[in-house]
Amino acid sequence: MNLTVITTDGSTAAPSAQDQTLMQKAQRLIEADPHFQALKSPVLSRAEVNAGVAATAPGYLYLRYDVPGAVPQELWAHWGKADHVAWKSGQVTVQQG
Amino acid sequence: MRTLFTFLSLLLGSSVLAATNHDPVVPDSRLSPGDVLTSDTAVICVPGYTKTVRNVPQALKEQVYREYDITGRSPGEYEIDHIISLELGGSNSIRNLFPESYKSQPLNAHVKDTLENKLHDLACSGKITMQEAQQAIASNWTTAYLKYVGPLPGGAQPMQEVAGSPGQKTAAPANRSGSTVPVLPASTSPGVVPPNADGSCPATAPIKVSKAGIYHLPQGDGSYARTHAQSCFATPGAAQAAGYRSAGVASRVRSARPAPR
Repeated sequence: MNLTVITTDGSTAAPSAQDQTLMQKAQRLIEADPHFQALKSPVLSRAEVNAGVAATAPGYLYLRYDVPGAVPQELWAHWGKADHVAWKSGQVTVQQG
Repeated sequence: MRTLFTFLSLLLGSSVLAATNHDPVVPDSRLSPGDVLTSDTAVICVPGYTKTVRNVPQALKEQVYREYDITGRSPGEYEIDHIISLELGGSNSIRNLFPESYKSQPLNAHVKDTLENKLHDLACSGKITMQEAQQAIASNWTTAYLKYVGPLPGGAQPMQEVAGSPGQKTAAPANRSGSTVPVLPASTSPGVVPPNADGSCPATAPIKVSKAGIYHLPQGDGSYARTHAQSCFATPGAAQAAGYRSAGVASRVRSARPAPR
């Protein structure tokens, strides 16, 4: 999955190594969540860094999983104090460091 | 008493002016081209569908306000709205969000809601396709209102697309997707095949669709090799049917534009 960066000024930007790490760690947390495991064949179809949002704020990294025949799942990951998946709101906190 | 009345009149007058001045009603396609989560009517048309889609995080909403240069607002003045509404399969990506005034007259968020409901009914009853509804509302909702609902309230005329208009950034950034067409969901378009990890397409579906929504053919297209595919199709017809433009058409449009002065 390509990680894209949405900048506020329209310029192109490559995702940082930290962004890549955030995506990978968030994926692992999401995939371990029982709600996610109940989905049938979810596939990560979109990963976007919202560069205007702080990396520690909800909404920083947008992740979308397509689920055939069902509602696609949108989640947002950001760095925080402890690993946590809030399935209802779609917020995924990834422990820093 | 008269002084108080005059003061209140001035206050009321200025607040009305403030509410009707520069309120973005039509999204800036360079900032917010629209983005589809799904076009599957079997999913969207189920009662209660929108409740199964999550809410936009507040930090992301604040980012949208900043991008549209809305630095101050009163409670209930704006909402962060979906260009392609949730009930039409719109996504929560920042590509699909814009600030919309509740208070501007005669066009405001409530008027757009009427269109959204109408398009939902039309698409879910099979009178138009969900893709048609999504394209219509993403292109210019006021024009779509005229077509699908009727005359705009208060005798209003369709709005021109906002692009760096007063009250917004004068040097608005280029479209995030490089295109004014909404970003269609790769996985829900018929015939779509996901690209390989390196951005190439499999041999069975060699046609590459770029981030800008333009499809490139493996032969006779100079941009093909350097295009990092977002999705792949087996035939040009399938890519076109999914809403993408051909590279040939896109370059002809570019070359036909007058040179900037």
